Amino acid sequence: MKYIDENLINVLKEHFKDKIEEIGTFRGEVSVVVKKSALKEFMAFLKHDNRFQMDMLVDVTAVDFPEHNPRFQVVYHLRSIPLKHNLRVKCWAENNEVPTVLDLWKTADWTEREVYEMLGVRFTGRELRKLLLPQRYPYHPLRKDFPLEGYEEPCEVWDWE
Amino acid sequence: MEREKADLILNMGPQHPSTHGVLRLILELKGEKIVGSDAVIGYVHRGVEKLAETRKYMQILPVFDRVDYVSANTNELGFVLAVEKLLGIEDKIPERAQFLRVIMAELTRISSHLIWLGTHALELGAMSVFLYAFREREKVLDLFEEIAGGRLHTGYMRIGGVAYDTTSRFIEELEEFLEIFPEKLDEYEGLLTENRIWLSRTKGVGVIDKETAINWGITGPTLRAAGCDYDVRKYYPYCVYDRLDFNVPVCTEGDVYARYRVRMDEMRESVRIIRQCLEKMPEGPVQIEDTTVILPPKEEVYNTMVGLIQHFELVIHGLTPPPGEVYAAVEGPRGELGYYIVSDGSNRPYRLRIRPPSLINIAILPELLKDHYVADVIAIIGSLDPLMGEVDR
Repeated sequence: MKYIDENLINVLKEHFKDKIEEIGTFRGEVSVVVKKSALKEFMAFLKHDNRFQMDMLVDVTAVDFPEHNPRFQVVYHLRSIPLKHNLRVKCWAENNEVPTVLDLWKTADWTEREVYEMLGVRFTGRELRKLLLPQRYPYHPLRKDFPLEGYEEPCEVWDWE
Repeated sequence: MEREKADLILNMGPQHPSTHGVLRLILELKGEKIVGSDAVIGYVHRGVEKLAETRKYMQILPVFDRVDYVSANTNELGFVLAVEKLLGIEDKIPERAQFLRVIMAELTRISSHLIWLGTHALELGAMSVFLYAFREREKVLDLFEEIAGGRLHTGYMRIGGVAYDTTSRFIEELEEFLEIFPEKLDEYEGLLTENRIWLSRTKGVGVIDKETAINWGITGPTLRAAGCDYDVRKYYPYCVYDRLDFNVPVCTEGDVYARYRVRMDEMRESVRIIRQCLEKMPEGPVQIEDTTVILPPKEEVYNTMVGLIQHFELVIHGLTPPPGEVYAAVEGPRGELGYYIVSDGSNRPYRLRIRPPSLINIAILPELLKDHYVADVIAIIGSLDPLMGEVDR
């Protein structure tokens, strides 16, 4: 899979300077860790700039690092259909919150809802409901401290609205 | 956004024969027209991603057979490619195994599209297509049984190759199938393509234009029916797709009929791809030689000390990829099926995320259904071809 090349990485470095915390390459895949305060600006730049044209948000997910503070890292996979390149953008969710990117890409609609219910990361600036689980389910099952077998099921979560 | 006031709220599903599983739609109706809707999913959520975090890499494979339960091979293939990328052994996979993977992936596409064709036509009132399509699908499942032993959950892919080599009977039966299948496709098309009822039910219904489709992250036949030629097999070739000559069918209308056309043409292209694979497939091993990746052959395990030790090591300790993260995708029958694996250097994935094409494709439903009639809902759901096992995981 093709990721953005050296030139474009340098463009990002010049343009955002210290707003980028880290740029890493592993097995040819480029990941950029962005500061939460600059996430919105960064994403909008990637979408609208002619050198990037990231018009597709492939996926939104998050990873739980219980030892780390902030605990959750939200991961966005971006792609440009016309230029055929990819980029992975990551952002630490301070206070378990990150701004939504729903206004840029509609893909975020359901994927952000899934991240919210599974890991408890809140996306600000949009309406959030659970997607797969019952609305009143109190736990976030993909967190590392949630046991695989689950907890004894509290019956009152089933809301047949 | 101000919603038009609804006269009636209609609950459709989750147990509804034409929602392809347990998809529940809450439709707000004004007369027969939909003014708003909401989709409720999650009825078959099995926590596959959580389960994967607690299993060794080899043990996860059979779980993914059951995520998208009508196209097991492409599911396995995506995961296997992701782990191989993580281990850095993509280039070392024997060529014969790569060709066999492509053959199985394309057969899976055919069988999955046949289910779609049969059920989609059945829902729109064309009963006989269902019987015809399942007749040919049976032949594909027989082929799976011959080479892998399983019909639905084949468990054929391995990290580092494939499980078994072909048998002479498999090749014979496959060639026979490739011979008759294009004629059968003509038969289905004879029933539907110019059928006036079919045309009036599908043309101009559920239109998604190109920009909207890309913005919603839609992939697969649904995107290609909207005029974008994105196909993982062409954009980011994996296995041996870059050495095969095939077209990516594209339509521009973006309606239910266009999606039907794209999928029908895709089946023809799949036949072409398999033919080329059979011609170009070299002789040789079907598994990587490195026994730290794949289990040694059974004769060695039973008869030699080294084989037994290697087998034991791999079963007890499993694979230990270096710390890092990879994303690998394949073109599944429903769209881009991606696997994002975060490894912390242990023998289990730290985090494994499946990018389910079905989930992301049907997220547009509430917006798409607006201003359509109730009868069109069934046509639209059918044309997006969601599989609820994959939507909920």
